Amino acid sequence: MHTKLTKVFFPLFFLFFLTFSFTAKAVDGEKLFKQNCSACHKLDDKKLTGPGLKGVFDRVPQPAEEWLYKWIKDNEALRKSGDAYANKVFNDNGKIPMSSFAHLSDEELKAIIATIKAGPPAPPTPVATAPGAEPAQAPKGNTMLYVLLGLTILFLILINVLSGVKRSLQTLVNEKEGLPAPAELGAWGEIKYWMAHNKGIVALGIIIGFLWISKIGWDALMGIGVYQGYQPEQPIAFSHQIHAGQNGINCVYCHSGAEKGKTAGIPSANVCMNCHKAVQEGKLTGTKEIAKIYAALDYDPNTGKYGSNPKPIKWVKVHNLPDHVYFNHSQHTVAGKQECKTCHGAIDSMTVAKQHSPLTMGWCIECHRTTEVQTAGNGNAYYDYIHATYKDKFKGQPITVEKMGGLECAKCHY
Amino acid sequence: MKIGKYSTTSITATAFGIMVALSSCIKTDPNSPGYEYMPDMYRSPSYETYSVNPNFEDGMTARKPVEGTITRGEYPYPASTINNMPFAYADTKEDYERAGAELTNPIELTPAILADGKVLYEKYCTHCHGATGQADGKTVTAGGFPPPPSYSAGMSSRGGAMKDLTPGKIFHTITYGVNMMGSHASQLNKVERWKITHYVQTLQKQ
Repeated sequence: MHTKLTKVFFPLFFLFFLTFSFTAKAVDGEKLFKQNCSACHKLDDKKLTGPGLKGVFDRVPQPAEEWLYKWIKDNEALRKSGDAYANKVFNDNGKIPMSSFAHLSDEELKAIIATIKAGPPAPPTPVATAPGAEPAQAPKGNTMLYVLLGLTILFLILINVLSGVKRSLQTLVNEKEGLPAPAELGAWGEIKYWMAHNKGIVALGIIIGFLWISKIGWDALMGIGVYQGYQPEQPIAFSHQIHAGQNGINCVYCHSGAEKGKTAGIPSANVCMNCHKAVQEGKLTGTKEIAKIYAALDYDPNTGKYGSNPKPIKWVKVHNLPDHVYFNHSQHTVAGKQECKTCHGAIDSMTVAKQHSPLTMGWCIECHRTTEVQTAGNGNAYYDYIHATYKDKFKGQPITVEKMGGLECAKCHY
Repeated sequence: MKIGKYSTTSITATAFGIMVALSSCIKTDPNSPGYEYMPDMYRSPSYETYSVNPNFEDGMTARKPVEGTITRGEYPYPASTINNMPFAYADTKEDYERAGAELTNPIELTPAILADGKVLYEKYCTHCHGATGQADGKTVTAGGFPPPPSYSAGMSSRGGAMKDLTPGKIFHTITYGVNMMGSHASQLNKVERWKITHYVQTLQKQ
């Protein structure tokens, strides 16, 4: 029994060990490729700094593995030895020398070559989105109005039907008692008849209607000049949700003015290119929108060269303050230590940027009245002094921006 | 029935008309900012930084500084002469090596400076290089950006191990970029770049 088991299990174990050792090696090659190569080379046919490696085994002099081994180990030596193809590759790729990888062992080099041979890993199957699976756009704003209109019509029909029933009943009663049939009033006549006999309800209805109309009118008037909810379509369908949300890029990476000056700034296209030189296909829109950056910069993603005819991208301004207000971003983000989201809302979940706050004076004032000044840990002698003074002056009370003169007219209007 | 000299019909119709007219003032189109009271207070007649400008050939109001412009406050370090000058190294491999050999970090390393460097690193570098410099930032893991070499374990494409890069080389790389990394000089001023250099050097040792 014992020997039988061993006989069965030993080959199985051996097989398992063999498979395991092979997978371990393949993983190793992938890791090495990531560490040493992938900053410049892609496994498909896209060019980064160096050419894409798809089909490299057919391009290079045969036997390919031997040539690649020599090239990766010390490409400079290979070029100097007069290898025609090595020099051609060097010249074709802008004469940017590839670094030497003499420090890698033969085994590691072979693992890398095997990884290149295996080609790019199969792309993860994209999540199928059925056409029309997009969330239905909820009708905004006027829904209430439509509901009320519908109800009004329903009630009118109901009144008409009920009054018809009432009249036929009255006619029957009158016939029995020998009285003449009641006069035909018509639908509008019935309503007028009803209104004339229910003046209290009519008066109440008129008052409620008047107040309701006033409320709509008031809201509409208060909304004049307030852009809250403004979410214009931009010339390039840039998604903050992808960039700031999924990819975790900090706001100030692109809006680097937010901590340095008055405006947060719209990033110039060179900041886009810090990533989009390599990332040429977007998750939502494929190459369509990213191609617009290239077009604006007159950049050719195939050759990696900039042309001489760049054009500015005409972004649509979302947040707009009137000219008679001074607002400074750095004052709020650095000295005031406010988070971007305090005023801009959950930008990192917005596909299209939207104005979150009303940006009205009342809104500014409200925050200046309630926000407490951070008095500790500023590392600034003047701040420390002034905070101590205020603490003496307003004993026991919270020190808000208002207390420091944050409501003075000339703070913002000058 | 009449209220005063107006019939109820006309009063109802008028009220309904006013209601519809007013409700149309409520914003429903996300592409429209809504109505403005005195638009000239909102839309400046003067050219603003990002506004279109017909007076320049490229149509932009924002102008580039003249070649060789020195930023205000560019001279914070009297001790070191080389750093007082506009960056005297070109975007070439030779100047990269030269910067690596000649430049030292002009900012004295203190815990406060290192803390500043960490904050700046987290804002400007983490999304690719990762919190500890192991190239595991979200842009790489979720966004498909090719991973840069690890600070502690990777090899530099310009020779040598990443962990042996000198401050001058790191500063040169942040300034001009290399391979897939672009120049970050437009986002970070020199002082900030030197602070980040300090922090990157602590990550090299991890």
